[in-house]
Amino acid sequence: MNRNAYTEEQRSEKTLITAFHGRCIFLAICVVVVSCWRWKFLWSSILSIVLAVPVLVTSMGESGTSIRWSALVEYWVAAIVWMIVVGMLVRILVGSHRRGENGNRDRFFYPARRPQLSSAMKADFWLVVTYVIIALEAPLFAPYDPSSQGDLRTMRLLKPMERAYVSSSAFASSERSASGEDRTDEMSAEFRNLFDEANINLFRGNERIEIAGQDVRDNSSQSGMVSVAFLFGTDNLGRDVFSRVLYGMRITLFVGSCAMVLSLIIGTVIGIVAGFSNKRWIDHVLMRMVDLLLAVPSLFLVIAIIAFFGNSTLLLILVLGATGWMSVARMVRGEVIALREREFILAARMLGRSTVHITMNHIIPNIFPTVVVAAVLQFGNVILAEASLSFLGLGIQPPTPSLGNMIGESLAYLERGWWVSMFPGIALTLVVLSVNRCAERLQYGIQGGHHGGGND
Amino acid sequence: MIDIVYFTIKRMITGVLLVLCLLSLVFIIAHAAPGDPILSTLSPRVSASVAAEVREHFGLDKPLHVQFTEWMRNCLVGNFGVSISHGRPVGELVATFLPNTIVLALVAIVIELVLGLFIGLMAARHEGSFLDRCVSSGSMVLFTLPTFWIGIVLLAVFSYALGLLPSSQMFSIGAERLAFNERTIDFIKHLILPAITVAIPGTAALTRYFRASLIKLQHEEYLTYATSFGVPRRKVFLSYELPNAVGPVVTLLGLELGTLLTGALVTETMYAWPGMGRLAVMAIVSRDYPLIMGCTVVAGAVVILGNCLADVLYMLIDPRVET
Repeated sequence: MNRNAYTEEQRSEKTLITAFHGRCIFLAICVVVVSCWRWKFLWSSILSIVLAVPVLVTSMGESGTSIRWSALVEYWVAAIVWMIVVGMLVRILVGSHRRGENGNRDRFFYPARRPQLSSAMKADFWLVVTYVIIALEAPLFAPYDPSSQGDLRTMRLLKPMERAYVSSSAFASSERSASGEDRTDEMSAEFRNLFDEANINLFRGNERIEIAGQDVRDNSSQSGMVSVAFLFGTDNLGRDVFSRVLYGMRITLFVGSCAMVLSLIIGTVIGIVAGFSNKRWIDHVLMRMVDLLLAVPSLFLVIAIIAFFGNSTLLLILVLGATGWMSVARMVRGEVIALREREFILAARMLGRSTVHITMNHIIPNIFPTVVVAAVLQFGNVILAEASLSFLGLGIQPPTPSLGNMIGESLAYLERGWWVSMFPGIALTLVVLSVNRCAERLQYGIQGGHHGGGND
Repeated sequence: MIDIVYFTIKRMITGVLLVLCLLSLVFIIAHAAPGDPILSTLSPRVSASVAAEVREHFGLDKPLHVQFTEWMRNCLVGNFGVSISHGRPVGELVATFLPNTIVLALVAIVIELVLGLFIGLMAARHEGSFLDRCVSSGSMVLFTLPTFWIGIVLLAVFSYALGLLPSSQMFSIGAERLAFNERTIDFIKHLILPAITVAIPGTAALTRYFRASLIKLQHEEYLTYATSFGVPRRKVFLSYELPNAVGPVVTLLGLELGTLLTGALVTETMYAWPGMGRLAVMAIVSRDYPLIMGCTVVAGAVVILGNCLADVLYMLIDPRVET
């Protein structure tokens, strides 16, 4: 069963197009539906992005402007990513996107052993990409603000999809405005007003009572009571669990990817230095360091560091990155040692290339597949570590929702509200599972063939 | 035989060196941290002279290298200083909490071994069957599940929904007055949920490894050779296949010790199990620096010791390993 047995004729143009485009059309339908659902939101964010520059320029010298830039940037990122997704889909569907001959485009890297990506592998990869997009699009998908609390008497610990009648003023009161009220000054330029309007739309749009399309006004009473239902229920403070899961996933993936990149850089550099240096003692010292750090249970070390240095998100990223590079370094070192003896490296040496040149042009492209596997493995580990830390209350701090601290907080009232901890747990498991499966399949693809007679 | 002794001694020396490195690492972390440990524990109204006195009392006015040698010497004797929040020596605290964690870890290891080896063997025997596929994908899922989430599901189902098992602590309230038998039963009831929580990821990992190594061995030439000689299948399995397949499992168990200890951090917090993990978390919450340092050192030392033992055991089982 050789996967690459098919020839060019068999891979006819037609099958390729139908299979690929079928999925794209499905995706496009989803995209159109969501875009229609939140068109106001999207329009407002685009307006806000466009108007931001003139507002920034005119209010440069002004003090006391209370525009919540951090919140705005959040929405902008969501809108821009959404635009990119739409753009890519349009490009594929309209057909200007052509796959090159034989399906390989010019690539930057030409590894000696290119991973064979099976279709299952690709499916896992796209699953991970989907989670990342969902996380980035949290403001777009989330029906409520993750930290806005509802009326505690009626909205506390609602079961998933349980109906509750709340007065619509409960929502009106929690409406945030992006800019301060002090607009009486003479700087009432037109775009400033437009900008404010767009931002207010943006923030209000995020708190519409329309989860699962339940924007049903109670006709019988006419007293401004609104029926609400929450997809995943609400937590102890009346916050929407679904929105919190989306936002939590975002911070979890953000911390995970930052820490992963950090440990990847450290690990690759140390691995290359250890494997490629002429002096044996450098290799020895570095590898003993790796042994030491691997021997200590890393969570204990992380906890000790956090305990001594205090916790912040930045520190969390740094610490998780700094304690996760060992396995990367080991993998890279092994690969580099195997490569060092190859003829093309020798040839490059004979030509008088410098070590830096050889590393950049010959070593790094060739260890690239290994590094990718290490990265994906590390990503899963870091996400789990971050979740455990946040669960213990040592990671991301409470007002910001992360999957770990949501579970940790909900432990106190697990008996009354199982859903509050169940849904973040499922989200976390799905993310880590698809990441790990991705890593496993990549590893199989790179090592060529299956180990242990897998049942793939 | 001499090889083995030589290897053991060499491994132990490496282990001791690693522990020393760990001690220095913890010292570096503690001293690189920003902020003054004295000022952060004292009331701001305390006068400078009193602060200096306290500093002198804890030996913090001495030069760094003197502090370092003192820290090393004290640690090697098992003296980690006095805990701020408990007011007792850290060594004593660890000595009272560590056995509980060890009990938990031992029970978890037994569960892992029994279940993991059995399921792995079954899956490998019926390779490619429905059972095998279920085990493969199931163990993959269980392996990735975060420990705390497993714990929460178990708690929600067995403790809150069904009301079968207690949800926290090691004994019920008033268990001291019970007879020995009842006390033991009470203890076991409290032990089941945490032990299973800790054991599940390990069991999944063990199953996967054992299954993979068994399947890899199945097509080895020496097994075919033995079978062609007419050696009964049972004997081929027991004396040729099994010992070779167990090797990786032993290494994994050594590594597993670290996972168990880290898993204990979460599990013990969740089930309020009075062990090392809970001690460490409580120490962090109350900013109890000597206790944090002590816990890290002890946990690290236990893991290093476990890895050494695993390596030596592996050597005994499979003497082909390079020394």
